[in-house]
Amino acid sequence: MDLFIEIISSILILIGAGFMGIASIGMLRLPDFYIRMSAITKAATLGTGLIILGIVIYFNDLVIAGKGFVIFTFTILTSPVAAHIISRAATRKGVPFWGKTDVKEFEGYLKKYRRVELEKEDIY
Amino acid sequence: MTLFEISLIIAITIISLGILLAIIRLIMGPFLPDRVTAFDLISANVIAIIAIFAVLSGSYQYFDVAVLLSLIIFFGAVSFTYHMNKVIKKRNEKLDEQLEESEYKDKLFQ
Repeated sequence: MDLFIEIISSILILIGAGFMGIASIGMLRLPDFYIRMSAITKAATLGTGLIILGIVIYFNDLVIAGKGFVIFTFTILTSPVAAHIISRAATRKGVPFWGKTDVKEFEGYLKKYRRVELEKEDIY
Repeated sequence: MTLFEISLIIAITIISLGILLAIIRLIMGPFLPDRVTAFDLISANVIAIIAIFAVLSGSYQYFDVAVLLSLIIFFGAVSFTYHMNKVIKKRNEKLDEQLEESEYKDKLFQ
């Protein structure tokens, strides 16, 4: 039974670590800030959740399960909110889109909040 | 060293390589939002490493650190964006003033 638990939890932790690695590769390789953002929020959240699930299964204890649940809930609540805030600020700042992104339905917002003529003068 | 510990060490190695890749993006990211996101990813990876290290060392007090970190990261991102929004607002107000002045000058020279 012990061996069975160890096998299951190690498989879960390895899958989670793989997802974290995929998220980091996407962070480095993807072409555009907004696309990178989508890659990170999904893959990193899933990776953290899988790793913590594996650890909770390994310890087999109620207190650890509660703490793991807290970590997972915070990650799943805060990571989409943080991603939304950051990409909203980036849109208003004028971070450019990828050439192939379709922004037709988005044009009204961009005209209202984004000063295109200021893109060259970079504050940061 | 059992097979379980070896798999844990492999997982830590993969996640550390991920931190290295994220640091490269943190250095070369063209805009501030890129850097904030890279920092977010780094801290998520650090949470995972701490949680795995709690299993490796066998003492689950380290789990509390992961709980705290997962809270603090969010506030870091929020404060960064708050600062960014302030700067953007100032810049837009300056732009509006410049536009008004330029229109006025145009009318003067006509």
